Amino acid sequence: MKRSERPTVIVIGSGAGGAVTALELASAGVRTIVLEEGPRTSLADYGSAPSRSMRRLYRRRGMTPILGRVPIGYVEGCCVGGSTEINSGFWHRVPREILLRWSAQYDLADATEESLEPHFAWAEEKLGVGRSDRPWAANTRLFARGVEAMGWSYDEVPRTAPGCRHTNACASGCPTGAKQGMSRRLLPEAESAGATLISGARALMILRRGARATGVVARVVDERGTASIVRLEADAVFVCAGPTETPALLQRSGVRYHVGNTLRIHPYLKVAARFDEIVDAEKSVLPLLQVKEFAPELSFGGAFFTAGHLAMTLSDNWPANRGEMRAHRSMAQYYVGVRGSGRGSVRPSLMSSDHAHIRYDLSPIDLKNLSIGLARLATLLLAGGARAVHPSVHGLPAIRTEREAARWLDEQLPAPALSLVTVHAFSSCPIGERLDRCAADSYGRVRGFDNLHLNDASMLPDSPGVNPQASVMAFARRNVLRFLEG
Amino acid sequence: MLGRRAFWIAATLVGLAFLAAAVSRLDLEAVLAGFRHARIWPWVPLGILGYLLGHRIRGRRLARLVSREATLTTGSATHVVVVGYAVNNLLPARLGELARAWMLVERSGLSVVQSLTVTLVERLLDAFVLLAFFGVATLMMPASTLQIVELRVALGLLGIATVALGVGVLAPGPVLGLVSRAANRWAPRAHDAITRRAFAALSGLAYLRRPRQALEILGLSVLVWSCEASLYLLMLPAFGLALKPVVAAFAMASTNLAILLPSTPGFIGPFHFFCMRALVTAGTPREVAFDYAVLLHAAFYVPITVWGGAVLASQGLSIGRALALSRVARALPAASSAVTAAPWRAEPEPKPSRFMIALAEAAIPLDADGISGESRTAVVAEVATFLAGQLEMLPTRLRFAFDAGFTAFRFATRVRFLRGFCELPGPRRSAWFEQWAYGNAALGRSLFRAVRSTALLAYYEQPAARAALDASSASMRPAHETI
Repeated sequence: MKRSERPTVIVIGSGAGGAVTALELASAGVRTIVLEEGPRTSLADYGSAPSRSMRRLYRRRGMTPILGRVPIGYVEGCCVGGSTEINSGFWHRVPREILLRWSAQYDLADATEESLEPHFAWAEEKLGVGRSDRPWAANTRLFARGVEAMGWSYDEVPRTAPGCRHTNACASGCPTGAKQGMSRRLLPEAESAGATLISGARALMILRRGARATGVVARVVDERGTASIVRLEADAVFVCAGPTETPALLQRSGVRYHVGNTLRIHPYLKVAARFDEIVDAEKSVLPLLQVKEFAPELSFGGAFFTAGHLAMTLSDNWPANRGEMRAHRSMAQYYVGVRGSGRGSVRPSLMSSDHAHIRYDLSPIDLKNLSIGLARLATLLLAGGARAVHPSVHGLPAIRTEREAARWLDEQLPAPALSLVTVHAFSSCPIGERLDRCAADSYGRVRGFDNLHLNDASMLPDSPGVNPQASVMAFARRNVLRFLEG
Repeated sequence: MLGRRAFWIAATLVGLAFLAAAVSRLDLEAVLAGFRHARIWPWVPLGILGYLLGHRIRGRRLARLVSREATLTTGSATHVVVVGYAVNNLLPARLGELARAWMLVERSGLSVVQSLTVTLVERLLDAFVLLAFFGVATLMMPASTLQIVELRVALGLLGIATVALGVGVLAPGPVLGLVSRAANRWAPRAHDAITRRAFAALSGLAYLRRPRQALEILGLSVLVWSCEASLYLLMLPAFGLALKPVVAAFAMASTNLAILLPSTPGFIGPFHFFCMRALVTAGTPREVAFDYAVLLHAAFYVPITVWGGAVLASQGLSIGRALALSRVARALPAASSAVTAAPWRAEPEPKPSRFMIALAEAAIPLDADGISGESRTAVVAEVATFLAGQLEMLPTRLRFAFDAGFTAFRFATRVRFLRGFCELPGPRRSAWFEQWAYGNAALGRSLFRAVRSTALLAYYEQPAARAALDASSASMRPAHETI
């Protein structure tokens, strides 16, 4: 086959990491091919009912559980733009303390606040990151009232949604286009700069010869719905398929050095709070505040709300809770999230190339933090005016007094009764200079390879304790610029 | 070229040798008398009907087998199957299998390797089912030494093929890694091509990786061969023989196992020999058995050849187009706008089983919300469809666990109520479900956690449920209207 004179780089995945990588590569004149497993969508596809958007935008329709002592529901996007199309758009720079930890534990080079500043700033400018220009909705105001009553402090979290119209459709894809998922600006810019984006293309294996990746074998579905196995040759490959698919793909391709053994997540415990007031959480954006006192180990925030999601939260004690559905207009959902300290793994399924086996075991510290977190969140909500706080824990009745909430400061929640979820996974292929811990060097080049790179959430050395999109984008840009320099 | 011709000649000679063995020492008068007294109506048409129905089911099986990789209707798949059989009837050495693989490539856009893999899988499944038929029949009637040899050879070959197929189905990743490493070592220049073909072959097995789907395919295979057995069965009374399913199954399995190997066009010779021999083993006189084999072969040969010829004549089998399509599958389509703009296609929703519908109905508060009549039916159908689709998406090992759990639940229901879960009256069914889903047994709760959450999520999206919810919340009076 006659090869182009320009080098060809394949980027696998079009989420936060893949989009940044593709844009920078294409802008530098590199022949860039982006393979995205999911479909290409438009605004018309967004904002539909959760069950429909799960079918269209989510990996395996949202059925990718993390197994372990306590099974954890996990969802990620599977469409052009990846999870950025279905997340809340919250934007957190990685905390200084976390960067120091990564530097100390993983010998992560060139990862200080100062060195990452231009990359964060670049991404923030591209995505129009800022605070809401609309009055807070009731679910946010009630939360703020609770935080103030507790004497704690809060910050409104910046979002990647300039001009957000509070349609409550973040998790179904923003139908107004306010939220800057990768499909809104970065990927169109990358395509304008010459990148080719192939949707419906699942990378099955990275072809390798010695210390070089020579291309990718992918399963491509055409418009007739017929799948073809195709081979794409490349001078370099960037794997940006996400925290679970990147390690699975690498392992399927025979790359196993520290790959898929160190998955970290932020486990979340949801609660539904009933207030006296009409909240109408279904008609507004999710709560925008973050309590500062306990970050990054412990975070409280607001969760996506529909009647169906409320029913799911209440379903752990449905016979006792179902009557609460009548009060759904006075209810809102919140969560306590912990910076997971347990450890998980990702393995490709032997039975199929379609999914990975994901495992995570809650550590005793996770469990303790979840218990304390529930106590503090319930206290906060009660102080904010909640009449009842329903945690998604089987057998745990609604918390109606601060005294009942305080119980969990000292007692531990029963692990088998927990219904946990997460939308944040990372660290399955940590980067850094520590050969005994890291799958790739500090800039994402996979150990033992000259031209195989990681550039997504899988590379974060450890749990950042905050929404990882900003970290992923900043590190991805730093890495790809380094690649272009080299 | 010489080799291929020699192969054809050898295959033809073998076929003729079997035919000679079949007709040797036959009483010609008795043979002709048998034909004269044969009762064609209604047995032969009925038998042919069963046989043709079997081909329709073969088409369904093929469509399902390729459904993970391509869109093929049952009608098109049936045509592919029939053309394969027709070509086998007209050309020697089972060349119909290749024609069928080419046609599958043309109709579905699959690669040649995928298409051949699917064809091979079908043959293996056929051999499985035939062996099962053969084994059961030999338990009930005495088999000859030759038939026992036939069984042993078939078992041996099938054993090897099964292991290979099993490894390909259960561990595609390691197989691919092995192929890649071996190719890198022994044929580095051809590494990419070999790996790609291995991928194509493994993806041809995709449908069998889900236990439920593998069972479905096995079930369809049993149905296919039951239909074919009906042809053998209904031909027996045409010659005044007793309508014995065991004899029919024995003759069918014995004959078809023998003709799995390449031989003459239409298997003339081996078909007659093995079919006749099976009947003789069952105590039928040789002349009658020969008559039976000849008429059966005609019923086996003529309709399918005509059908296949008609398909070929009306639709054409363009080898050139097939080759062109398979080349597309191998090319680099990165720049193709058709590929880059591939739109989202809704995968067909699995049809919920009766059990799933009953489960969905038990998990949602229809009675509390006063939803009845047509609305109720519509809501339950929507929720059950969503639920079935979601559970289908679970990782394989988890689906296994769920299926096992559901089986245990249904068994417990039967033990407890002496009735199936679907037969329980609505309120009792809901109460029983709640006992499991919200009870003290962690295992029961784990089993139904996904079911109840998923069902409730879908339920509150239904207009009828939403209207009931809004009506009930309107009756509540909060202390303050707004904050």
